[in-house]
Amino acid sequence: MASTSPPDPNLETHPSGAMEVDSPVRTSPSPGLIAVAAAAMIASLYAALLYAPTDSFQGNVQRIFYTHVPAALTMYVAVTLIFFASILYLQKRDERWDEVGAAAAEVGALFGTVVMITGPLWARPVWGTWWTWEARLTSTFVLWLIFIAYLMLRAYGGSPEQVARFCAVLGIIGFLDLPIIHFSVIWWRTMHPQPVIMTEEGLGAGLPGSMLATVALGLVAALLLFTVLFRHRLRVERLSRQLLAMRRSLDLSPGEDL
Amino acid sequence: MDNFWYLFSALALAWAVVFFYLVTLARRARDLKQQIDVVQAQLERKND
Repeated sequence: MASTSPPDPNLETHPSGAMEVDSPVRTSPSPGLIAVAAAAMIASLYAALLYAPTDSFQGNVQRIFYTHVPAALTMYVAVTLIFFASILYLQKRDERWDEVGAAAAEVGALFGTVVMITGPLWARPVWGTWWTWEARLTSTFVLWLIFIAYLMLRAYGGSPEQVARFCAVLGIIGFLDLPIIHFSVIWWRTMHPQPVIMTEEGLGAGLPGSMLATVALGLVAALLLFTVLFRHRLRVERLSRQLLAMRRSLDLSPGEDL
Repeated sequence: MDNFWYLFSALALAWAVVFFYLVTLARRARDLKQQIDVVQAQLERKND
């Protein structure tokens, strides 16, 4: 029995009669990009452990900085990407922007987790405590919780259209936390150090050259890693939607014998 | 104040989290491709 349901605009008819969405292979990270990202990560680790000078006050534990700060800045990038994808989704209702938001949120949550792991391990020997509810730490923790809420909403939220809309709104709310995180150390008295990279005196004015070069290399490596993971995650998202669309097209004629 | 243990733990955990995520992502992609192949075969049979 032929189906009378309207065709899904995201589907194309396969020569075999099956339906498929745009090829997910196009979003896969190229081997070249993966190689460059891996090389940058190894170089960054080398610079952090062997090239950067030892901090005269904190000692070697300060080297956590070269993982912690690039991960935090990459998390900012992820939140910004989710923000623009959310705005564009709400404006155009194009599913591709929802896919971008979903992929950026999961990879952003990963970098947020790295920040939440490395922060307390750096704080314990330097501040004498794993955690304190001061402004920078609390606002970062809130952003991490927003990431988790976003992922839970995606997993258990209900109809795809509703989930996409709610996630877009949550993505915009998450972005509003960014200036609070960044300026928290200026607006309130906190234990967290003042900015040393994005300072009023200029970019990187708070660091000696070799430390600035090391953190810059760490940031490049983290951004390359983000790009690789984001593209890979986007591919998984598209495969998942392709499977869902194919299953739906099977269910259109349940009486037929497969 | 040296505290190598904290430095080692931070780097090891950060890399472990990234590695675990990469493995999970690869596994999810592989499982989805397998499921797509199965459904694709069902659709082809249905259209024959």
